[in-house]
Amino acid sequence: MASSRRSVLRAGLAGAAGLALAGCAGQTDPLAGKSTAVPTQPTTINWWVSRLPSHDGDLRPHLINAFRRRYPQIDVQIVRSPQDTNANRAALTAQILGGSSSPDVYEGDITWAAQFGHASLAMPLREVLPAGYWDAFPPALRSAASYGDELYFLPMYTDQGFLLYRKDLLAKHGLRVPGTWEELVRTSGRLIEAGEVRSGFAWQGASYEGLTADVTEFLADAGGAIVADGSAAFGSPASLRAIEFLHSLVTRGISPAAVSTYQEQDSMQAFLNGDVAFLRNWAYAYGSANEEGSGVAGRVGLSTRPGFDGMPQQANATLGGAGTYLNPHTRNLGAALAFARFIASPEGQRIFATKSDLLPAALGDTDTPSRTLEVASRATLIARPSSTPYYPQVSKAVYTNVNAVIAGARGVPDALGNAVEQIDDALAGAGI
Amino acid sequence: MSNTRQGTLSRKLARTGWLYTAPSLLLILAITIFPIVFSVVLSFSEVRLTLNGFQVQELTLRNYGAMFDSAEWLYALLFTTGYTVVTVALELTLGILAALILERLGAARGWIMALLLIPWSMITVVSGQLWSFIYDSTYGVATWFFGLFTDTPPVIMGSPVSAISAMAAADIWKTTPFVAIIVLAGLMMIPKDVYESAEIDGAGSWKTFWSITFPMLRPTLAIAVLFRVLQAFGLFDLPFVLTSGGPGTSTQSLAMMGYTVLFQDLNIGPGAAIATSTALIVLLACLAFTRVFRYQVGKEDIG
Repeated sequence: MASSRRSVLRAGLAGAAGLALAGCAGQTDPLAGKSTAVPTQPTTINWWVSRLPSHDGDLRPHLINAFRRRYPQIDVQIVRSPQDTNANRAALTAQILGGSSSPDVYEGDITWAAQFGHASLAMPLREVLPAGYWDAFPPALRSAASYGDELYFLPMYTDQGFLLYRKDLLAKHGLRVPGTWEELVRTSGRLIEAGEVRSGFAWQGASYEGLTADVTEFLADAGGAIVADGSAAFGSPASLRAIEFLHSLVTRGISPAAVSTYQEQDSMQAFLNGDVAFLRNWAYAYGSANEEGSGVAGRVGLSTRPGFDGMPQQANATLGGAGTYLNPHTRNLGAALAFARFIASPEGQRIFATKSDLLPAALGDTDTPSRTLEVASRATLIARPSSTPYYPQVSKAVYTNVNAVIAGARGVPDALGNAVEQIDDALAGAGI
Repeated sequence: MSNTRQGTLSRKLARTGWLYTAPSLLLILAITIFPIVFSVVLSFSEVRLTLNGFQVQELTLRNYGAMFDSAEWLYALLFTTGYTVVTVALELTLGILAALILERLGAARGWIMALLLIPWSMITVVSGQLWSFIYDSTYGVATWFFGLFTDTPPVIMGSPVSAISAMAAADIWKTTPFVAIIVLAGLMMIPKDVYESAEIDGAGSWKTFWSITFPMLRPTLAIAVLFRVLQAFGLFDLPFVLTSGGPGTSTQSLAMMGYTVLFQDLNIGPGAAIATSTALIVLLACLAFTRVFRYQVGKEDIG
């Protein structure tokens, strides 16, 4: 009995290993044998996408209807994706890794390109696009889509960091919109002293990806970066300056102590409650701060982010947003590609610009830009260091260590040293 | 003669038994044993994700090496163990107290038990979300309450000690009723005459509890502890909802770290190593625990 149990176990082990090893010989080029031509027969493709908020509710039908006016033979079915980024990634990974040909196209975060390309979860797209295709888009977006010499998504919509401010409070005290962080600290101090607000400036300091986005911007302000030339640059004097500044915001009471627990909605809430005069947030914030019932509607201004005094590069904004990825197992490559290209086309991008607060990936070809678009076009976009397949680990090294600093659980040099070590491990593929 | 006939018969019966259970055994093999074995294999492999799914490059011990080298893993291990020991101990104490009270209740017992079971029956993600409202740094009622005693309202999720305590409170609130109900069942099984003779012998209530109730409850407590340790060691939902592991990584449990490494980093080998080692630790802890308690159970001659 005992021996037979052991042999069952042995057989199971061998079977599992054999199954895993069997994958060695197989296809390597997902494009091989597939036509990129737009089909003439009726075809249905599945589009894995989250709800895209528009001025009248949902942007997705607008995009699909406009696409179908051009390609009536292609039907687009929406597959609702999980709202949470990580849950979404896990679900997509399970489905595509299992070899499923559905969804044909999916909305994915712009930081996923290298990881998904490396893990064969996304179709390489350089070959199927004409030369010069990316000229219409910001260089930071192209670099986000790149991994090695391949490209893994087509532009969908972008996002970037902004500064929201209470224009009523600034006007009342004869203050101007801060051009530098030093000025923002002084202005905040005056508004706190005058009893207008409890603290000055809210941003995203919780232990999550949003903090890495904020840190990327402050590093650029100070002339630094998380990764430079393939290794961690997070221990540089510029990094020290940026992180010490973030830490000082909390210790000096300019940012609420709770900022170490703030994700987007928490920082937004603090601003809408009138607790703070300034807010760093993404593109949706200006529209929703001015919505009816926001408490500060009509009293909010929008500008690019300030920079550090005396630093040459100002108005930095971390690039965010989503791209359209293709499933490497799709059986409808032509139709999927046509749809992805339509979303990135001027016509598709115009739908984002006119019908929603989502920023089109190609700015500048709208006749009457919204305030958000106009301010957005003045910023310098900074890409997160997502061109490594180990980006999630790099980012985790950043946000966990910086969060510990903001929460007062760890000193700045100590945390940066720790982060540098973890980032270099991650970049070498040796992290955990 | 009769011996061999009996042997044939029992073999025949066994064969029929195996035949009848074969479908369910196959199912268990497919949905339980195979994934476990597969995940153990992955934990010893250098895995690449390819167009054909998982591809094992080579068999290696590196995943475990990286895991043991990782300060983050070591912290997660200590945190999960410490958290399990403390919360289970508190739940056990509170659960026994609640059960002792429940036992003395008359007609109201059914209603109180139903009320008590509400936290237990709630999905942890939902109750975690409710607790996050209580702990919210701006409008949370707990923040307001503690703010009455301090100059500035505390940021409950902003420091490791308070974040861990807050999480433990949510956990204890949810699972104490479970312990209470199990212990209550044990209490009701203790024969009344033992208490009566204790009373005649002049034992006080304190003495009665420690000399009669507690020893006779041991088998029941063993079961309660076993269930709770298994569950507490797999701590995931609460940090996921309340802190996402922060501040820093101070509330990151082993299960959460495994999830992040597997599904955020897509780092399959090390992720499988974390999952496998976590399962092994729980298994060994439970085996050791039941060993100790089986002896106890035998001595009390119950169960």
